[in-house]
Amino acid sequence: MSRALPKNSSAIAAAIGLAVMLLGGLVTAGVWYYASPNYFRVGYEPLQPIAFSHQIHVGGLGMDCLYCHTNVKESPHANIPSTATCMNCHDAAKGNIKSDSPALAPLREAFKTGRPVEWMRVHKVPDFVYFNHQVHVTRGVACVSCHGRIDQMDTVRHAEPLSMSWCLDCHRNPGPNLRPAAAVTSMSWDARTEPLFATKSQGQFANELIRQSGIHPPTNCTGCHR
Amino acid sequence: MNSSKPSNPIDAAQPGVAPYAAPQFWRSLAHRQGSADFVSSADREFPDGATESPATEATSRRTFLQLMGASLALASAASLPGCRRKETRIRAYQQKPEDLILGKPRWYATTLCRAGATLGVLVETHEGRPTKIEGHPLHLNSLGATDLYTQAAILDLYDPDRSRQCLEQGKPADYDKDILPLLAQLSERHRQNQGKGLAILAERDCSAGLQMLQKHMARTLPEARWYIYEPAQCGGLEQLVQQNIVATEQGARAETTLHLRQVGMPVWSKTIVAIDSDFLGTEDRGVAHKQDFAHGRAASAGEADGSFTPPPANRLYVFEPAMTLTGASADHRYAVAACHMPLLLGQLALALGVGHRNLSQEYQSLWPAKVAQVPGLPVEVIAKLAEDLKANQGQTAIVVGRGQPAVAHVLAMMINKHLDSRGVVYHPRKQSSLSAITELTGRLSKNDISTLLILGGNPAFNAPADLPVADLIAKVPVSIRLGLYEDETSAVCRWHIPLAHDLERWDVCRSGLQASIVQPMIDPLTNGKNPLEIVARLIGHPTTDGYQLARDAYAALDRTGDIVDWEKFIERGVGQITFVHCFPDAAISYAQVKELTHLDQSRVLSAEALEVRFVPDYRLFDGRYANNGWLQECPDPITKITWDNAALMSPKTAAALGIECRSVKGQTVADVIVIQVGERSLEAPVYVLPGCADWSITLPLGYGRRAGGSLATQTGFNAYALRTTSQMGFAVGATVKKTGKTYLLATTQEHWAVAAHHLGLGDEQAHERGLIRQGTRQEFAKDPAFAQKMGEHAPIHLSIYQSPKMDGDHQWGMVVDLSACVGCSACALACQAENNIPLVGKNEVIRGREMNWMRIDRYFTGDPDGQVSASFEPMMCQHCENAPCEPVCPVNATVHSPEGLNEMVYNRCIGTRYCSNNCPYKVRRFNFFDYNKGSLRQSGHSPFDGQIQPRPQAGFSQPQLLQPAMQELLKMQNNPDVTVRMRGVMEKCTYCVQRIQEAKIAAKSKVGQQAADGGTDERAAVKIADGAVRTACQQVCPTSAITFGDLADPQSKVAQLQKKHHQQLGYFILEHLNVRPRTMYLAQLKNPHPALDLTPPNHKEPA
Repeated sequence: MSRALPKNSSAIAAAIGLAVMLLGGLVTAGVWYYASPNYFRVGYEPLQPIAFSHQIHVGGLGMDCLYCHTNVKESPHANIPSTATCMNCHDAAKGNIKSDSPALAPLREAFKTGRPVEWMRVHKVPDFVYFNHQVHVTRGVACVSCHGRIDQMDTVRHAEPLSMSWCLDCHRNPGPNLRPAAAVTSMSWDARTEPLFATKSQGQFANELIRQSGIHPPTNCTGCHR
Repeated sequence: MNSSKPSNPIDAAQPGVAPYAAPQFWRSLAHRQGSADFVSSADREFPDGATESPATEATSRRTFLQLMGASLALASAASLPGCRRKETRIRAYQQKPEDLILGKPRWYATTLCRAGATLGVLVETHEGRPTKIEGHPLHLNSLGATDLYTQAAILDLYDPDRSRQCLEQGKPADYDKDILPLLAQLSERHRQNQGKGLAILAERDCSAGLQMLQKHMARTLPEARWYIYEPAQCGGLEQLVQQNIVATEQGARAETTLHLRQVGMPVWSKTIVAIDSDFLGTEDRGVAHKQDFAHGRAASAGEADGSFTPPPANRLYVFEPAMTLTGASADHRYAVAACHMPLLLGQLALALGVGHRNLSQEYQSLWPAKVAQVPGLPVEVIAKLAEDLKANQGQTAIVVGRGQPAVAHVLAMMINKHLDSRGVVYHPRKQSSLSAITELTGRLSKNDISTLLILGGNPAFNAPADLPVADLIAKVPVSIRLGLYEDETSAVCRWHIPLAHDLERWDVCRSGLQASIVQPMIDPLTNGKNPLEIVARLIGHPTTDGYQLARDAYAALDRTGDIVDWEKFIERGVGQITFVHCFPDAAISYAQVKELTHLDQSRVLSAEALEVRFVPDYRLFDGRYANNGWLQECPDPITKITWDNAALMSPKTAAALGIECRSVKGQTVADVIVIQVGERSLEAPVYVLPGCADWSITLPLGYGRRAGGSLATQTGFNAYALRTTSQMGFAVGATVKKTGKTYLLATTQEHWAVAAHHLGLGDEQAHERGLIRQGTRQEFAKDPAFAQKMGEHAPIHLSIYQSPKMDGDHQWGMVVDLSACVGCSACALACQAENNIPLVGKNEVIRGREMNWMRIDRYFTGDPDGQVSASFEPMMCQHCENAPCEPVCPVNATVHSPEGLNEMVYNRCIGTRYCSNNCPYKVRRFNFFDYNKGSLRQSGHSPFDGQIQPRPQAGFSQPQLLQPAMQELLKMQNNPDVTVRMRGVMEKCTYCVQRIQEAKIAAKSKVGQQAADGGTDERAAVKIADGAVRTACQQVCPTSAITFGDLADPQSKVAQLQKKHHQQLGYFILEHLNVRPRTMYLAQLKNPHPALDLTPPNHKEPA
């Protein structure tokens, strides 16, 4: 007469239990890692219609961010430069730099026809998030803090997670990310070489700035969600 | 009083409780009677039917599981592609406009014109996309405020139903290939025959460009005629003008005839008498009238110096046949039938001793003794009114409505002159609407017109019913129509050309002392053409460019004062010009008009001889806004009907005629009647409205369109069908018959009723008084704290819950001044425009799913069978400090900000609706569907299945909801600073948090910049100046009834008001619940004549 359960049933049960635990752990770990902005946002590096290199323009030529992203101090958005801005240098009639380069053909085409170049968007927060560039850069938060070392990127790459917890880290303690206004657009600024900091530390500077201009970043919901 | 009062079910269930006492302030007749339906619907957080599944037939367990399984499968399938990052592209400008900052709105001055009244506005545009209209502070008709129609105008711009192409006999035509040669050919033909057979029919317009072209036409084409027809302005003075038209055409009496319209009621009028006049409502310059009127009422006015002295108050007497906004704001309101107004004015003139010696005799001869007393009017009123007028001689204004016959206007002019009331001034007019349309019809029937250009308007729909305008237009050899929609008139015209919206074209407007610019905000979205260009081409004007024509018109204006050049004019939006107005002169006498007035001897109204009035609608005006969903869905300020019109009559009249208008589950099931006037008849649902004169039926115009858009054609009935040339204001001798059919009206008057009994604290009367408080100036003088003694006693602020920490730099709060509020509902529409609040459609409103964050609660007081008055209470989220909605949210989707805002976080909300369940004010709204996507195909079901038939009866239908494709264009109106909410999310008033954040960011950036520039700014906190943040409702309000600001700043107006009125007029609604609202209401102060004080006794100081 056969038994209802095999002899080694307890071992099977243990194995199943172990397997379930392992699998559960794996799934949890997987979601933890793969479903976080740290994984699926950081490193996003789409191909652009024109192989514009920030490395050459910013890193090499030392152009300031504001030359192209002109409205960043006055507007919620850091605007993409108009075609005319590019043509200041690349137009045969003006700067005449690489004005016949085949790589720039789409640009010349856009300028001629008025049909805009369709750049791929790299940094994007969800629609219900109202990020404002103006208030960040005018109060001493650097471009590099959120966008990374753009000056070293040949194609722009998503450098930081831009997740809510990442935003809140700074909103709860803005001090470490504050720097003198003159250095906001600098990519390579180093607190150790900042002449202002010869007499005081970055921490002292930040505390002063926070006190003087009332930097209390919102941590309530409607600060960013409206 | 009503003797057959149904017993209250609550009382029945709880023996021993005091019998039901009718509330002093009631929302509807059902509320007053305490009907079971009203009580049960007040108990719920959403109106009955709102939260039920569309499929009301019991959903079986099996169906439920099937649905669940299917949606799970769909969800997992749908989420797979979601793993892939969505590619977004950025298109940059080729050449960025120089002064444009991407992401920052720009404001342009322009002017909107309606029926000859202008309103200067500022239009907010985002990257060239207009999104919101605000008033122009420099324009004298606006002073920064706007009205309902202006707020909704932005939606018309993006209306997907707008006409998109030129048509010839309904088939597409090309503007360049067909229309331009046609215009050139016509121009040439009429140049040769001096304009013979050419006629232009236009709306009343203040366009200086059109006036310039009109002059050019009179010079070069002397035979051509320009007619102006404005249906809402017919009657009254117009009648008088028509009688005099022969004299006018000969030019002999052009200076002295009564080509006048009332234009003003200045701020200093102390005693105002409105006779069948809705000057706070649909009449011209409504915004300015409201401002002037509220200036003498508001308890919140004159607070800048911190001293509270009630301003010298004006007193408003209103005699009207149906409740209007003006009547609701009155200190004394009497329901008097329209046809009895001349009698009333005559009696008043006699009491004042107006006119020459013979007046008394003439007067007696006009009215037989049997109607010597005005029906429905207490005897002493006229004497007291005359007394009051005499006491304020020089500071009075008698205004008479357009619908009144000539004799009423003449009597009013005489009284005004006698009292030296410069409060009413008149603007000369060259032509009357009625004479214009009559003459045009006459010529059309004689085949006298070969070319007819119709600019805007819609004569085929709104011309008098006895003129066969549509048929005659169809017979004209060349008829060209310039219109926003392909409507009734386009259908009978040979050619149709799309008209450019006011925000798409150039022009110059003139009104009063000012000229103002009309400039395009956007290229014509639907190939609309500027009327200036079409007219210029037709009459052979050398300039045909709209911009150049506007510029020429500006140059041709007789400007005075500061003459600004064109560029400056465009920038400022306004400039000064000379203004012609006049006071009625001595030539006006009673004898002069006696023969003009056919006073019917038998003006005794009865069930067999009813009066029927035609009034412009509060929302659709004369029908021109019929395709505007915001206006259609905005509850009528008085009746609270949405998406429909109805025949309004008093409860007594309805009862006598055996007509019912039942309230079922908060909805109104109306009997449909046939109204017969002469040989014309009309089918209409009845709405029983307290405060109507007996035997008088009021029909709002503008509904029942046959063409002109998907929304326009599906709502209401066409009251123009009964309106004839001799009866443009009202008709007497109508009869009514029941059809046996019923019709479901979507009314919101019983929605969101704050439940009196279930909050369970104290007696109901006290609770009712707590909601809306009202007193008189006399009471206030005796006891400034009278309002504090109404309602429940507020508890000591103790709570077992920990209150949220409110340590922000600002503490936002609001004050709503009920003395100033006239109930116009402009705030509700401004809120809709600012906050991307979706439309839901009639079916959803019936279920109680309307989304408006702001509602205007309308309460009646008085005896529904006697004198009734109404009060308004704007109601939105009160931003309670101890908000009951917050602790019940399982996902923290509604939380408190350090600045005292009750925040709603859409991206957290999972739609449990616990918060709205717990909100005593019922100000939370739930997205039952993706209203913003317009996906409402499933909403055809009725919550009334099996009880009554909600589907349209013959002749009435319900609006279909927008198709997704249409929604694309409407999206352009959306405010980019506010999230567009999705299905399953709760929403509510945010105190316009996007505007607060914008101001904060601006202030912070400024300080940041100063500090960065090495400035020595030592401000520890970034403070926003008082007035820098204005909520949308505050900004639009013509009476400044809403004050918003920072309570933490002792200098701010809102803080001063709350402090001053803390022990005076200020009260918080439902304060006894210890929710600590941030919105304070100031009790309404009425200013009745002491000898006529009709305030109910329970209003007096409690014993």
